Amino acid sequence: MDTAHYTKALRLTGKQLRADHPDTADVTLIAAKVMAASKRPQDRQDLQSLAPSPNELDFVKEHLNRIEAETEPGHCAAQERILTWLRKQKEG
Amino acid sequence: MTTAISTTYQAAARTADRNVVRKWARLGIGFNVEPARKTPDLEQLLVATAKVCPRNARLFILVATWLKKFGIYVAAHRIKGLATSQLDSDDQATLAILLGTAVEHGAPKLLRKIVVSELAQATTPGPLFEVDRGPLSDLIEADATETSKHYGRWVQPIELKPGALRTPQWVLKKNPSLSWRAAHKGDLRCSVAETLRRNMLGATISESELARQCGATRAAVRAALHDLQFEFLGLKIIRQQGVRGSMIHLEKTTE
Repeated sequence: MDTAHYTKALRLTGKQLRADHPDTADVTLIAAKVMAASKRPQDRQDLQSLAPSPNELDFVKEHLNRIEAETEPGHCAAQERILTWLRKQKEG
Repeated sequence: MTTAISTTYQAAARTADRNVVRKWARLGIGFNVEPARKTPDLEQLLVATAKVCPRNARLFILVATWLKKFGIYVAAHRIKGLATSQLDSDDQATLAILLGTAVEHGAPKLLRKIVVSELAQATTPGPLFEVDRGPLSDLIEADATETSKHYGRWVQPIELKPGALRTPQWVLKKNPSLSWRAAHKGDLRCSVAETLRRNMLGATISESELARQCGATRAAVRAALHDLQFEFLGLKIIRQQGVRGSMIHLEKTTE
């Protein structure tokens, strides 16, 4: 998956979220990186450094749910794994 | 106490990582750092890079990209000699995967023939990048390249970033000492000349010791020295009887 593609696709939602939740300003970038992270180690390292907040991860989860609803079950399984990993990092 | 040691180690690692990145910037990779002040020892840099890559995936990708474009500068035999003497088997595996991946993308095949095939596998299989060592491990293994599985340090296929490299003109202007390497395309003459220039300038060394440091046979080194006599003014080969073969001397004035 291409980060630039997802950044573009998410821009509108990201702007809306920034307005609604000013504390989640980097969410567009985070969502784009989660989409690409299952294939790109540099994005996994970036996500580890960014240490997304629970709110930001919830937003990405909603986005994954929307994609799955429009495609087939399991389409975003790898991205779900990335989210679970990030949540555990936050807890640990 | 453990925390203090860990912090000290992390600080040292960050400094080492930064030095490696600055040297690659000098060689034409577009890192956002101040480039090193002088041309680095390329083979020594590749050996140091193998130690840093597990902490820096971008470095792995960009160095593989650099090797595809500028791999003819690399003295293959010298890398083999340095890597097998300085790196533990886990870091040798990392270097093998870095060079092997670069060759798969178009870097000189000599790197695989001379170096990759001689390097050790990791002691215990697992992901190459530190970020992947944990819950994501099986995700990476499922996708890993054949080369990385063979060496026991799993890496997914990478996409090169040619846009992140400077032009050959820029690289040569900043590093004119690389130009003679291109003429020999990384063959044994490069390794012999670079070993003498880097380690033995002004000193005398036996042919057998030179062969050991270059990771080649004495006969092959003797043939390379024969050719190099026509390129280096200060190169003196003193023929003598004995088990160590000829003695080699490179005068300090040599360039």
